[in-house]
Order: sequence, then structure tokens, then C-alpha cells
Amino acid sequence: MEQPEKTPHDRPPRLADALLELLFNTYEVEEIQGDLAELFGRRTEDYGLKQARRLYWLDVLRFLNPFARKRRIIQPYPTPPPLAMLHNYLLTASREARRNKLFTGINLTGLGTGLAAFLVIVQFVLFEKSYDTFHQNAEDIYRVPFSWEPLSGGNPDELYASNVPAFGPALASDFPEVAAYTRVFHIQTLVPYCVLTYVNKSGNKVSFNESRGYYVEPAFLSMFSFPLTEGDKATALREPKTIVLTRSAATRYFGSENPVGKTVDIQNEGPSGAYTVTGIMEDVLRNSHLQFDFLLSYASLGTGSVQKSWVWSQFYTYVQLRPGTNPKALEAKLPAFLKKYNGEKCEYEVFLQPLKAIHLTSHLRYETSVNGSERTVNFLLIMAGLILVIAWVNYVNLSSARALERARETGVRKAIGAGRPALFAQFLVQAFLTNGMALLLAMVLIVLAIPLYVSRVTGGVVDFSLFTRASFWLPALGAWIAGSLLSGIYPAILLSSYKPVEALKGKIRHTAGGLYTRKLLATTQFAASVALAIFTGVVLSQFYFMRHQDLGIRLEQTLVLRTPGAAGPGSGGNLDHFRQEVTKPAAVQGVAFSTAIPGREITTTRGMRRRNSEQKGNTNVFLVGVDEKYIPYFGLQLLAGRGFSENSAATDKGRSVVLNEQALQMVGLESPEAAIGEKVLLNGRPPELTITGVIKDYHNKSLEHPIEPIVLYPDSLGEGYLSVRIQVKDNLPATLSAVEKAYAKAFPGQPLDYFFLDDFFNQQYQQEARNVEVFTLFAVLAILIACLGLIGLTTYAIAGRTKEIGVRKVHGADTFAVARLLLKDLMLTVLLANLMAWPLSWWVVRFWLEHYAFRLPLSPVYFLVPGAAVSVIALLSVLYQTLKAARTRPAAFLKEV
Amino acid sequence: MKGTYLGEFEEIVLLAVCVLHEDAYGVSITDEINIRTGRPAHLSAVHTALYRLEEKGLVSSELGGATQARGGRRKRLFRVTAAGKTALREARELRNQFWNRIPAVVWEGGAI
Repeated sequence: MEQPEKTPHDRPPRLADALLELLFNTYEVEEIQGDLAELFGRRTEDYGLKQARRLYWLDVLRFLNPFARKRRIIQPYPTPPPLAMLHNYLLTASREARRNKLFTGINLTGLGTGLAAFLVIVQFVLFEKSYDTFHQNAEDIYRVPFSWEPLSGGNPDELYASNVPAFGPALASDFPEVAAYTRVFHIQTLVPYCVLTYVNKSGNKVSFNESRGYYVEPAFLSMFSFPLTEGDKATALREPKTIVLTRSAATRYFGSENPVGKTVDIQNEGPSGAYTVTGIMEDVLRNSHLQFDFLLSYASLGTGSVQKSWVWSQFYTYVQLRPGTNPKALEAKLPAFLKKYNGEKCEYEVFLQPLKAIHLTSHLRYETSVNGSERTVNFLLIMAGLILVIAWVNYVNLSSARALERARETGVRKAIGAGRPALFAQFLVQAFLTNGMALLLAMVLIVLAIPLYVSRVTGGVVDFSLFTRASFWLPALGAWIAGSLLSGIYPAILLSSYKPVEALKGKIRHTAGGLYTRKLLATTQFAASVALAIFTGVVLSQFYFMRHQDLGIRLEQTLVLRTPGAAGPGSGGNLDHFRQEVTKPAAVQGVAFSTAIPGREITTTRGMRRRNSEQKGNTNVFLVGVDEKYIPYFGLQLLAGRGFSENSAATDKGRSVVLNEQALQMVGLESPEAAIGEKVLLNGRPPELTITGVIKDYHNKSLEHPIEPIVLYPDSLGEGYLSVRIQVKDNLPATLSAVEKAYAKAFPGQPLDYFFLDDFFNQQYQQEARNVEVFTLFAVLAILIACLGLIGLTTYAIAGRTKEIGVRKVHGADTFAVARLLLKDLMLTVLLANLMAWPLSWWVVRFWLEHYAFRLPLSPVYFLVPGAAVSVIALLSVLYQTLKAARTRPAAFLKEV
Repeated sequence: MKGTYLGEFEEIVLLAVCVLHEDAYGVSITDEINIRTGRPAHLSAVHTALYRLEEKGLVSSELGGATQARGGRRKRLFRVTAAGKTALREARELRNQFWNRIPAVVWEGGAI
């Protein structure tokens, strides 16, 4: 090997030396190189320089022999094994924690509450994300929703979760990649009742109005994983008039007896009669988007022409694709498929919705149950994460603010031989200890909060079984490790960087950089709190806005009863009888009948257009059958024309309709006055209907949703809801029992269930109410933790400036001047935080509000007020310490050495 | 005993350390072996053996004696420990036992 350099010649090859240095540690290198140098000198004399260099290289190469044992370093002070120091680290950390109670308290409170909130939210989020994952075929199952309009550019409100009955069978016969399909039809689609009657143990007939049931096809049981404990899943629902009960429904009806083979009587619109129990299944898990107590065989619905309908869109359709099928490829073939059956002019479209995505992402019309909201879940997660980050920032800030105090310790440790890695480890251990204690505290908090709060807001999802789950421990340990590292690394770097001599001489000063970092962190932290406060304020205001907006319809003091299903053809008479009976007590002020009630999806829809018009696009209107009392009873405002009255009952029936403004707009009529007398057609078929009145739009659903085109028509069947207005203030139990008596008299033997309409309507805001509650809690926690951090930082800032304060006071500064001086920094922090928070929260808030059809009118107030409030809270929280410092007699400060 | 077993080369290195008393380090030991045995011992092999002996506690070492010839670098000076002496004595004892038990006839008759 040739040497690249020429001079100086009389020295050993540098490259070889470098190689040695690379491979051996300093001690070894010294002695090896020394030995080699000695040989080199001798050889130069004996054999000449060139040969000596060659031999040098050879010797060095021999040292590369992997078997050449390296010398174990034997240092004057042996390095203890890594774990031996752990005990010392833990000891000093716990001493440290006990000595600084304020900081330990702030850190533990912040980290503990942050972790508790985070861990509970993670559980809730995991639950929400677990919907429908228990089905073995979940990957291959899709729901096929239905749109009356082209999907792109169409009205998203016209997307139905359900489909037309003819779709499923046609799809399965046309596409071999469809392994199975099932239609699912809710029992209360046609009529708002499903009376289930059974004979109990003592031989009495008992009736219930049930709503948790579906007609399903036999494939349902094999596609989905709802395990049967009795019966055969292949045949259980094959025959008409068969029923499969869940375990708890079976127990409710038949006690401990095996109900298979027994019958229950079901009164429903079409397929009434005795149903034979053919199977029992496990209760439906809570994380299933399909919730039911029993399943009826689809065959019970009969095979009438209606089953071949391509327009009746109330049949949920689920398909199972063969494994490996590309759903996109199938989806692409669907428009052609629809045209094949509906003609070229067919405008409606369908798409495939993965089963597991339904709960969080699907918000279509006519969902089977109230779905979760991905938006809410994400916001919750972000907020919980923010709280955790705010708590971590506290730890970082307080630890680095205290670095000065510990500089001497660092100095001593370094002087007796601790290297930087050892110190780094020490401060990390401290972070792990603090975070670990915070985790314990978080668990205590969770245990306390579960019965008080958590169980309620999560709807029972999070309970004590939490602690037995890996899904709790993994995030917990993850948060512990991540938190310790994130919050421990910066202080560890800072503290381990001190030079021992300076540290021991007390020459370490806070660097401008460190101070800047802390201020930046504190400002960001506060900005996050302000943003959370603003966001929560808006969520709260939107909630309040929705709850207190004039709905355009009077829902108060209204008791709603369902008319019985078995009333039969004579029900009209019974209804009148009930009306007379129920209005007898003075507390009952009115009664009205309708086929649908506010707060519930109107399930009767038709396509409506004006006579002789070539109307394009969406023609879907929602029909509500009403009696003549309905419009005045609910205080609906007539804009033009008249409502239905007893005088015109004969001419109105089947002839007249009343439209709301949306419906009016849909058929292309401008003014309410001009609309009176216009003729419209439903589904393009006679009879022609005359518009006799126009009512002002009212909110039939929550303000989350837009107002739908609604058409009122005079109902003659009497199957629906009776609204009874009662004086709640008067003796309510007596009134209720009077209503019950009237019902029993008019409809003997029929089950009665009733509810208050305003409560029912407000149930739509249940999720909102929960959001408000949780978000408020989070905002409060965030502000609290951030304020704790400020208190800590202020304490330190004051401690560092005591002499300055003393000197200033000696020179005549008064308490106020000193306080102002001390608060100046804080004010700046808070102001900057506000400036950072406003644009950010503006963007977030807009995103949040986009979801609602009726939005709170935003104004600067929503930003200024929370910002100001949080700032005031911050100032108040440090006021005590500031005033204390400002009031202390200067001598006390100046006497200190 | 496995830990104190002395290999042949190790034994020679250890003997060299004893011989060189107070001046035993890499180069001097290598020289000593080269001269006495006439076989070319390499510095790296000697170092390895020395380290192994040190791990076994048969020699101890300290740094010292920087010279101009070494470019100002210190040398590691080795010294035999009590355990090292015992190990050498045992090795010698072992050989002696074998020597003593060789029948005289072996020497007299010569090799086969």
C-alpha cells in the first residue's frame, strides 16, 4: 500500500494510525501506537524508512484481526452498571419532588388531569371506531345507499341510506361478484306502530309497541355475525311469519322457557298475525349500527308487485362481495346497470358504502340509528391531545426554569465523574418518574370520574372494565413514554450541558435563548387555551342558538300518543271518541292528529310537480297527513289561503294540500298568494291536488338540518300520532291518568305509550349536549392547567428579580409600580397568545359550523370575550404572588446574600 | 480450572513479563520472545495475550514511561501478580510431575 503523502518521511503512516484510532479506544491507541512507534524507529535504522513503513502497516493490519482481544478499559473510577445509578436518580428525583411542592403539584395536577382526559377520550374514540368491526365479513360487506339525483352536484339531502326493493335481487343476478345480499326493512316504515302481543306465564295477553325490529332476508344471518344460540341461521328466517328474538327479548317475553316454536302476535301494516319463533340470538352488541330486539322474516312481507319497485326507497340493502372484489370497479358498472332496469332517462344513482365506515362517516337521510360523528370524534381527540401537550409544556417550562437551582448539583455530579449521558439519563428518569406518578393520579381521577361523569357522557361506553383492557394500557404506557421523552428531553439537554466549573462557581445564568424558548412555549400554550375557549364558546352558543331559535311550531306542553294499529277500519270513529273523551278535563287544551311528528324523519315521500310543468331535478316532498286542528294546534303560520276545516272536509279529502315555502319553491311558484288554486300531481298520477294554503317554513327537524319541502294533506286513516296539549303546571299525574283513561275507553286493550314532544324533539340535540358538556370541561381543564403553568413561571420570574424589586422600592417605587413591572411580561404573553389564537380559532370554528344548516351568526364578540376572559383569569391567577412580592419590605429582599 | 488455564503462548508471555521485571511492555516482551524462542511473535499477538492475562488477573498494569522514541506516548507496563506467579508455578509443577514419571528406559532406548 502506497502512502499518499511524501513529507515528512520519517514518521509512521498517518492513515494506519487513523485506522487504529478508529478501532481502538484512547487508552489502547496510546500504548499500541507508542509500541509501534518504538518499533518503527528501530526498523528505520535497521531496514530503512520504506521497509519500516511497510512493516508498520503490516503490524497495524495484524491488530485488525478480529480475534485480537481488546483491552477492557479499567478506569481509575469504575463506571457503575447502568441500573445501579437508577436508585440514586430515583432518590434525588423524589427528594426534588418533595422539596418543591408547588412545582410537583402543578406538574402532577396538569399531567394527571391531562392524561385522565386523554385516556378516557381514547377509549371513547376506540369504541366509536369499533362499530361493526365484529362482523367476520365486515371487509366485504357494503351498504348501498340511494340517491334520487346524480351524486355529483346533486343535493346531498337527497341521499338515502336505504334503497329500492328491486335493487338487491337485480344486482345479485347481474353481477357474479356479489356473493350475497339482504334487504332490511324497518318495522315502523309503513305505520308508526308494531304491536307485539304474547301470552305470558300466567296466561295473560301482554302487548307492547315495539320499534326495534327489522324484516330481513335469510342471508342476513350468514352475512352478518349475529350468532344464533338456538335455531339454524340458514333456515331460521326462510319461511314467512317467522321471528328470531334476541336473548333479552326472549327473556322479556317468555322468561326462562325456551321460546323456539312458540308464537307471538304481531300487528303491523301488512303482514300481521302469529309469528313463530325460530331462533334466539345473542343480544346485539352496542357497537353495531343495526340495533334491534328481533328480526322478522322478509318473506312475511309477501311477494307483491311492490317488491319489484324501483321507486320505493325505504329498503336498506346490504351486499357481500366475493373476497378480492374491487368495490370501485363494481361501482363503476352501476350507472349502466340502473339504466338497464330504469331506462336511459334514469337519474338516480347508488354507491357502495363500506360497512365499517357507516357509523362515523354516513350521515344520510333515513339512517337506521343515530350515527356517530367523525368530526366530533376528531375534535375530541385533538382537544384531549392539546390538554396533554399543555401539561407537558408546563413540565418543560418549570423544569427548565428551575435548571439554575440544579446547576450546582449538575456541577458536583460532573466533577465526580458523571458524563453527559449519565446526567441526561438522570433528568430523563426524573421525567419518567413525574409522568409515571401523573399516570397513577390519572387512574385515580378516572376511577373517581367514572361514576360521576364519564359513564354518563360516554353513554356507559367507558366503565371500570377499562382497566382490564389492553386498549387502555397501551395508550397509557404510550402516553407515559412519549410524555416523559417529549417533556424530559429539553430540560435534560439543558441541565446536562452545564460546564462543571461554571456550575460550581454559580456562574450559570439563564441564557436569553432559554428564556425565549420558555416564553414561546408559554405563549403557544396560552394560545391553545384561548383557542379552546373560543371554540367551546362557539359550540355552546350554537347549541343555545339551536335550542332557543323560534322553530315556527309550538311544541310545548304536548303529550304525544300513538294511535293503535289494531284500530282497524273503524278507527276513525274511535279517534273521534278519544278526542271527545280526552278534552273533557280542563287541563287538556287541545288535541290534533298527524301521521308524522316533529323531531322524527317524515317517512312518506312522493315526487311532486305542477300540472303541465316539465319540472327537472329533485321533486321529492315529504307528506304529512293531518286533521283540521293540526295547523292551529301547532301554531303554524298561514301565509296565504286557508288550512283544512271541518266545513270543507268533504271537498278537501284527497283534493287539497297545504305547502310550506320550501315545497312551494320546489314546484317553482314564487309568491304564496299566486300559489293558491294551483294544481299539483303526486308521482305524476291523478288525482290533481289543489293548493289551498301556504304555511311558513317551520323546523320539523333539528337546526342541524335544512328545512324540507313539506306538504300537508287531510288524513282519513287515523294511523299516526295524537298530540294532546295539557297544562303541565296543573296536577300532572291526574291529567295523565285522565288521558290514559280516555285512551283505554276509546281503544280497549291497546298498549299506550306517550312522550312529551319537546323532550322528544330535543333528543336530536343529545349528541350536541354531550359535546357541549365535554368541550366545556376540556376548555376549563386546558385553561386551568395553563394557568398553573403561568403561576409557576411567575413565581420563578419573581424569585429571580427580588433584588431588583428591592432596589426599585428603595428608590421609591410603590406597590402598584412594582406589580405593573412584574405583570408587564405576562400581559405581553397573554396578548400575543390572543393574537395567535384568533385566526386559528376562526378557521376551526368556521369548519365546525359548516356542518349546521342553521348557523350562529358569528361576530367578533365570540373571539374577544373568551380571549378577554382567559386573559383576566391568567392575570388573576398570578396576582396573589405578584402583589405579595410587590408588598414585601425591600429590606427582606436586600438582606439576602 | 478453566479460568486460570494457561496456554503455551500465554505462559511464554507471562514468563517474559517476569524476566523483564519492571520493564515489561509490548515491544520489550515481543523482543524477548523473538530472541529466546527464535520464532517471530507479532506485537498484536503479544498485546492480545497480555490483555487476556490481565483479564485473568495474572498480570497487572499501569501506564508510564513516555519516551521520545514513542512519540511522547506512554507505555503500559506489566507486572506479574501473585496469581500469575502461582499459575506459573503450577504449570511448572505439572511438567515436573510428568518428567518425573517418565521411565528412565525411555531415554536410554532412544526413540523407537
